[in-house]
Amino acid sequence: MAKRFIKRVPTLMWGCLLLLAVFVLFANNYLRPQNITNILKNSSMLMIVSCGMAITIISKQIDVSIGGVMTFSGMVAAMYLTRVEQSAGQIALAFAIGTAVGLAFGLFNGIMIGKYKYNYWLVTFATMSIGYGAAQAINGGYLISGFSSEFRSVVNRELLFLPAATWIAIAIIAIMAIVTYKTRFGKYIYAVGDSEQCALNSGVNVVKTRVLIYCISGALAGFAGVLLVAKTNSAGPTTANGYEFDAIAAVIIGGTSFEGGKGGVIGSVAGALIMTAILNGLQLMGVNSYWQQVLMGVFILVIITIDVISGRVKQKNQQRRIYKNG
Amino acid sequence: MVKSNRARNLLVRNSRWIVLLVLFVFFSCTTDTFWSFTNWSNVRNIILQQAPFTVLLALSMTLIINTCGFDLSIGSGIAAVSCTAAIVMQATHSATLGILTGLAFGALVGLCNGVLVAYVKIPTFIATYTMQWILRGVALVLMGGAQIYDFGPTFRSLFIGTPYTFLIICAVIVAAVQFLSARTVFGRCMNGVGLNSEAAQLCGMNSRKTLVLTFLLSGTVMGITSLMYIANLGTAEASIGEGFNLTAIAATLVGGTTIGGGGGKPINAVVGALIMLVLTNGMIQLGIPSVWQQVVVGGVIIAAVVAERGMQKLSKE
Repeated sequence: MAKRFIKRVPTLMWGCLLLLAVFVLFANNYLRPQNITNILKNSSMLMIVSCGMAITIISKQIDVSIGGVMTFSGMVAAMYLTRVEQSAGQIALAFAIGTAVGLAFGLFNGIMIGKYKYNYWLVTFATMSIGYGAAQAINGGYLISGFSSEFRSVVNRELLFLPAATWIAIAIIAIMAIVTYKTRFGKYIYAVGDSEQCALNSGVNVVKTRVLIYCISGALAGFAGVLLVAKTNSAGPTTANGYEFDAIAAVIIGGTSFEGGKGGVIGSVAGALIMTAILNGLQLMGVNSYWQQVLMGVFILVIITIDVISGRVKQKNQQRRIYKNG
Repeated sequence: MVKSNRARNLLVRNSRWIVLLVLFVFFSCTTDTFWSFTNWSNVRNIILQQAPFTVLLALSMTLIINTCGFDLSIGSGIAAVSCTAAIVMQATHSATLGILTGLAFGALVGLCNGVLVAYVKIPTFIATYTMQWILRGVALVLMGGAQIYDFGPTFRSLFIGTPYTFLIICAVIVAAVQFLSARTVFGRCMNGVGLNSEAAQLCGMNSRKTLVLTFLLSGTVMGITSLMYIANLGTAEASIGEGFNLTAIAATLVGGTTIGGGGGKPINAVVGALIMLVLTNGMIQLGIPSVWQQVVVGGVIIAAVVAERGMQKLSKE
């Protein structure tokens, strides 16, 4: 059992875990319970959006609108909350509104990409900029901050040793894992990513699958956007700047590759945890925030390069084997 | 029937100029400040102070979008290049050294992007997006939030001696790139690789080399743009160029260059940039708050792509 589990951990992740070991040795207080809780809390948003990013990358496309969608949905929810009394029901409604906003963006992406076959980079890039722009426009470019403690406790409250946000993330991850590994739709995601033509010929409704994938990705981003507002206690025009980038990196660390049809949600979640842990380690070691950006950028570039090159080597070996046996 | 076809093709081919004209007339009619026979100051400002930069950004982007995909590193690249050049000029007070540094760094950024895309084969968007983060980080590390005003005695006067310098530089570069892409083997390779890189490889074009050279060219244009930009602005800081990617991409797509279209001409970048400038300037003159700009530009990208496909269908019929 243990052997099988170790075998399934992607090679890249071993490298990242090694990097983490460096932090454990050299960063002060890295393994203190408080810091672990902090990492878990900070990573829950990234874990949620990584699930969405994972299914889009498995389907051999990508949704770069995530950061923009998160920012806008967070902004809309924040504007709603400032106008009402922040009771439990209203807070739930705010989350629903954020998710609906994300879903609307996802639906637009899905229809443009899945049905009308526009280039996915182009469409999701446009929706990303519309998301950031709209978050700026609806509130005149100002920040909203100072929410009630009830709203913030959705993220911060401790339940059974873990922050509430982590429990929410675990619930969403469990649902997404069941959806991708156990349902017919999950199989379709992998089939479409492996080869769209094959999937189409085997009777998979490719258009519907693609639209659904973007809807899920958008809805998760919308939900995570509201959570992020609750965590940072502020909503601004660039709240979730760079989340799409971190999510892509998390998914790649988790063993999903740009070739499509490979990988999974659980790996991506582990990747998200590792990304947050590494960033946290850099912070604890007292690295200047400008250098953090450079180092994280280089780190992600290295990860993606390794992934792309190893994918190519694997493909070549496979071809060689077929040639030898044939 | 034939005649109407010809008219339609003519209309489709020149649709961007028509859009530009319509926008121009619209804003001239609806606002007092945009343009009239007696009021040229706004248009003059657009053409001399804004158009050269936007056109060069769009040109740099057009080259890349035409061959493989988005280049998201332009905005941060401009920040990194101008900060480096500014630091060199502050230290040495030599305009030549500063300009050489800027050009070399711009070309280096292009080279890095090119190698990542052509040889490592990372998707263009991801490679340039990663470069964007790294370059912005480099600019921040170099400057640390400070600003540089001191470029030495000669650098700025070189550029702002007459108000027409920027326009002339821009026109020369556009003409040079036009010559490269229309009259040389490299230009043909560029279009061929853009259309279908494997087919181009099979036809004997070296598609990897072409890609790297295209990125190198685009990076150099970016380097020149950043030098012009700090000369015009008079300061260099790490936050320069934050919205440039979006503007450049919108201008390129509005200009009619498609991703991997292989047919993008430098003149497309000029039209696209002018349309975007007229649109954004006109919106401000109409009194629309500037916070709406990004939403509009994002919407314009989608509208341009949808319209492009519609026009392709029209001209095929």
